[in-house]
Amino acid sequence: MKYLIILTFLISYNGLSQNASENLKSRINIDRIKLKPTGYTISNKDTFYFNQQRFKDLSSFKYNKETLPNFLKHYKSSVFFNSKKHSSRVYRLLQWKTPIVIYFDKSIPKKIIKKVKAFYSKIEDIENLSISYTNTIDKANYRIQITDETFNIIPEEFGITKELEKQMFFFTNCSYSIIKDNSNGIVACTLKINRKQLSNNDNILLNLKQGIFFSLGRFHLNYSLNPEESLTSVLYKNSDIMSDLDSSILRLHYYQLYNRHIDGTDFEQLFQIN
Amino acid sequence: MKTLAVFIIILNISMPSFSQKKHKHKTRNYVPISWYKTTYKTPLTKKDSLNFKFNDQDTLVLITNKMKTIGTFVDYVYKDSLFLNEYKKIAFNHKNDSLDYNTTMKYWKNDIKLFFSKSVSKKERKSILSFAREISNKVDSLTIYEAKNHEDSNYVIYYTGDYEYEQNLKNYNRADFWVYWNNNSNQLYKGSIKINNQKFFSESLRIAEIKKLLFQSLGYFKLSNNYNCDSYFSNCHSNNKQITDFDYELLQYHYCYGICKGTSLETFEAQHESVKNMMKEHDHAIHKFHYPNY
Repeated sequence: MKYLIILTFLISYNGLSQNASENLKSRINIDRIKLKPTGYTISNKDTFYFNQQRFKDLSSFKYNKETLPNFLKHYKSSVFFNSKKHSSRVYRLLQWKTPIVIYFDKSIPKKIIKKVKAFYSKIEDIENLSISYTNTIDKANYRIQITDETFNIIPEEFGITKELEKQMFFFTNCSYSIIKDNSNGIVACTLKINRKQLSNNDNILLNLKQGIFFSLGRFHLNYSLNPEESLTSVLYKNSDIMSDLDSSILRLHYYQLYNRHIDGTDFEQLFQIN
Repeated sequence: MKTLAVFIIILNISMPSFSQKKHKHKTRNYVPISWYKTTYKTPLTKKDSLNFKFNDQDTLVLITNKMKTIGTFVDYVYKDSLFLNEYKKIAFNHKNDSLDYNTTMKYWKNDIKLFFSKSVSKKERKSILSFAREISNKVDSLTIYEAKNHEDSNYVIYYTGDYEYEQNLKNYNRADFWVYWNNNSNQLYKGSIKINNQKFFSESLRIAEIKKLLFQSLGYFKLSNNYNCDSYFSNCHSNNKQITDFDYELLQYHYCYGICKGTSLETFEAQHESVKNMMKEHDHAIHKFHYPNY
């Protein structure tokens, strides 16, 4: 439809309705007054502000440097796959920014579910990470699904040749898929496990523990680690307790929530804020 | 036709008087000559040329009061620069995130008529329509409602596995929207949302995603990292997404006719600068947009 827009100035000398000097008064930007860890907006007639997120200096993060001398190396490998800002493929940090609510497929044995819950209860005190469980799928943002789909993805570089190792390897019988938002926040996840794993309680427990862990930050497998060390090991050895390395990875990962993309280069710079 | 933004200067001259008699106003209305030629059928005469005025590089033609009253006048809506800076980042969605002053804002001129495919549950439909009603009630010039038949709609919401209503979304396997706009007026006229209901496995996830995409498609907005995740203009997900006061202020501004609609960023900035300069120069002034064929 044809239309023209005209801006009309009605200039009078005897004072008509709009008072320009009043109108031109800017709203107050109090960005520097209130500091909150995440962006925040208030807007009304008088105020309008938002905060740029101010990140914590990661050098204030505490972990056991004696028992975990290579911790940061492992973390960067798991999260960024050792990539940097200008790498040919850049891996960025992914986080859950909302509480995780897990729904287990009905066919998974209750005693297995109980063990998984007990295992992850160790991370209940991580400030920005929350995991709970539901029996109602509509309340969940994390679905664990038993499926007839086959996966069997074993990269050659992992050097897995033995049949037993193949069966232990997570991606032989499982897969997980996450939905992320535009700020690299994880919105939802589906962890799929092939039905045949139900026939072996050890295998399905291993798959569940490892799959859930990967999806807490799209952590990558780390083939330089020994099996017993971490859930990110290529061949994780089952344990009732989460290792210090794994819980430290989660603690650092959720030390703060990021409202923007963080790559390997950004991450290193976060150790030099102050 | 390409949207034109033209200035009319109406000089409203009053004669100061100390009596109790009502002031007499003498008003003279001028329009740029180019605009005069495209709008009025009356040819310019020698007499007209005697009344020409010159404003910067524009020749202004004196028009009669009758000519002036064609169309609708809408008050210019003043916003401070802080707000306008945020507005520009959201309303002008630059291709490849690269600042381009030719980027235009987009808006829906006609009502949005939503058609839901059969896979969309009653609960989901109800929730989306309630969200749409809330927006329609609070934002002038923006109306969203359900169309029972696909042929009566201009916006389709469907899931993977349904009939592929929008071929451009064929290869999208998560969730996204697709909108069309008229290149001349930058008016949005058709849209679709497609959701993969396997990945968005619950009603609550699907509802949240559809609301987010629908809101974004109301102006083909660019979302920002700078806002609290609860805001619909924020890039990040939140379980507590709501149309915040800021969201409403921005959306209402986008849909109010007190700004030029469908313009490029360059025009938008030039107009605001011009009006604000005028406001600074004249303590008392009324600024209006005129829509001749509105």
